[in-house]
Amino acid sequence: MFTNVSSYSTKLDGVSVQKKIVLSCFTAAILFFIKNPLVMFFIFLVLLLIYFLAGGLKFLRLGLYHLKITIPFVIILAVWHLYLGNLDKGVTLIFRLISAFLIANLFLLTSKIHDIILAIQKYSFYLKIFRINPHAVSITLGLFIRSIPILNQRAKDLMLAQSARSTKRSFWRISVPLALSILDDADHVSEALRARGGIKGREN
Amino acid sequence: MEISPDKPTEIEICSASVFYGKERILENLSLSIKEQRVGFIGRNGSGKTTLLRILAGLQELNNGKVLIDGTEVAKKRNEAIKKVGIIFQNPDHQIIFPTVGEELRFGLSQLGLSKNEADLKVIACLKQYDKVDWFERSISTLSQGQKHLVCLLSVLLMKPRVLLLDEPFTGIDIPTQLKLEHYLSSLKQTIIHVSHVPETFENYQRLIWMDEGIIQADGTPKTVIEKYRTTMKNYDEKTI
Amino acid sequence: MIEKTSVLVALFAALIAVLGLVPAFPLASGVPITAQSLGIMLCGTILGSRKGGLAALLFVLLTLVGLPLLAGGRGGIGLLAGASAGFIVGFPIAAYITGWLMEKTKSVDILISVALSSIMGGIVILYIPGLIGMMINAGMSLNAAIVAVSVYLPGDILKVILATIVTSAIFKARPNSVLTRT
Repeated sequence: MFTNVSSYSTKLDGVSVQKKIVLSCFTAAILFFIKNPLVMFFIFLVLLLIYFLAGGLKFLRLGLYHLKITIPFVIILAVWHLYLGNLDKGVTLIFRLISAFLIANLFLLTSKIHDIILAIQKYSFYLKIFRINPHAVSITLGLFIRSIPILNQRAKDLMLAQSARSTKRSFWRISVPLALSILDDADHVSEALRARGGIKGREN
Repeated sequence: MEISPDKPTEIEICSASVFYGKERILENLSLSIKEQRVGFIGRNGSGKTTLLRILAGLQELNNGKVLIDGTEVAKKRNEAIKKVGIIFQNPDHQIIFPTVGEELRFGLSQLGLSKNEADLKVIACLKQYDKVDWFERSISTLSQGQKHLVCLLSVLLMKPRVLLLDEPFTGIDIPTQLKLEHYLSSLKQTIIHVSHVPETFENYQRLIWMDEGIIQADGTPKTVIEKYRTTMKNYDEKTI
Repeated sequence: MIEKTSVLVALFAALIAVLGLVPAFPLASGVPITAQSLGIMLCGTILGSRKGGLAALLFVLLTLVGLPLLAGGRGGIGLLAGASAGFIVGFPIAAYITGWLMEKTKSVDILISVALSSIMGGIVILYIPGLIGMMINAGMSLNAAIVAVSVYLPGDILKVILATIVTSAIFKARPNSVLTRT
């Protein structure tokens, strides 16, 4: 499931993931301090330009396409602020939403998920400043990523087993066996983990 | 894996007992193993999986102790992971990391190797099995049999003297099973294998039949399998 | 045991993610609801405050960094400007409070304890950041925001019922696994 979203190569592909994470978080945070609709709209245009410069017209189109999940909320914002007659605020909020997604997607479309996970794993080491066991964090992270496709497959299998014996497909019927199987897994996995030396260091 | 024990690994189980609450799982079991290929056979709930867990040092004993080459495996965990490796029935319960490389590296870093040292060994090992391209691969793209191989390699990389197998061939097809058996038979480690399939043990040196936490028979596979089969048949006739 | 803690946190965080992949079912109100916040409640009711909160936190942090784990394959820092920003940020708090209440009501009948804890943690507490997020990101007044988030209410009540069924079923099947009851 975690494949690279974009098949276009862009000029930002080679920039290190760490830099892109920090930069995109920082710029997204700045958006929340801007109250002027014109400035907000200007930032939106600058972002479009960055998309264009990074990967050409095709990449710009891809970026706009990925904005589709913001459409429902944009409509609500537009209707609500038209109704209130508060256009400045409406424009600010709409373009803040769109720009935030443009920034986030720019990072996601130019980075491999695998590299993002590696970067997180690498930097989670510094959590030890907060007296959190870095070894436990890196194992938990790895196991989390690894478990998603397994649990997803199991949910599908349970759904299938259910529809083989019933005409109704309801999620709640599989939620109990799914949760039980996870608790079973937890026993086995933690035992297998201990069999190979377990988690080093003190309790976190 | 170029492990060549100059002397055979010695496994001692000294009057081991395990209880879950009031339930008796193993009682006062004593065994000494020097053979390189040893099987345990028995029905479900016979105590054979618990036996494997005490050998791996994963199960606390209520009484007695387990020594592998003199190391008490339940107490000295840092020593134990160098002595004994275990492969479980379901690879999805064993594999912790999303990619093959990370998974194989894990055991080595547990032994104290740096990331670079570990990676070199991992790549060398993959090369040996003609699977170099696996390093970057995501575990979720592997078949069930391939996952079993990853489990086996991740344990073998830690170079344990004893390899414990808990029904490792459940749910895989016959060609894959034959291939895994071939890998296993070439190993120099002591292998202790638990299964309820008698055929598995034909080429083993010793077979032990367990039931209700007690040893029922102990000897060459041929004699033990015969006793096991006759008794199972009798069970059948009584219960049906 | 730290191994068990790590494994439970990882697996329940993955459970939250997988519940987001289950197809959303539209309710009578026309609002599609996902099972994701059921996962948040279960983290609290089964794992308890600390582990449950950590599982939700792991899920939220990785979603915000960019893994497409939120229902509908969404992820990334942009979510913080969206309609459900407050809810996402509130997930770990909700799981923590749900678990904390479970731990405080150990002696109460499990059905009541779970229902009460998940209503308090998964609805009352979760809706506070949810409302704040709505007010900031949609520029709404508190009253308007209350009306706006109330569309989620029927779905969330359904999820409280589900959380109660699931938790008590697990308590029956494997009493020791419901850590808030041990």
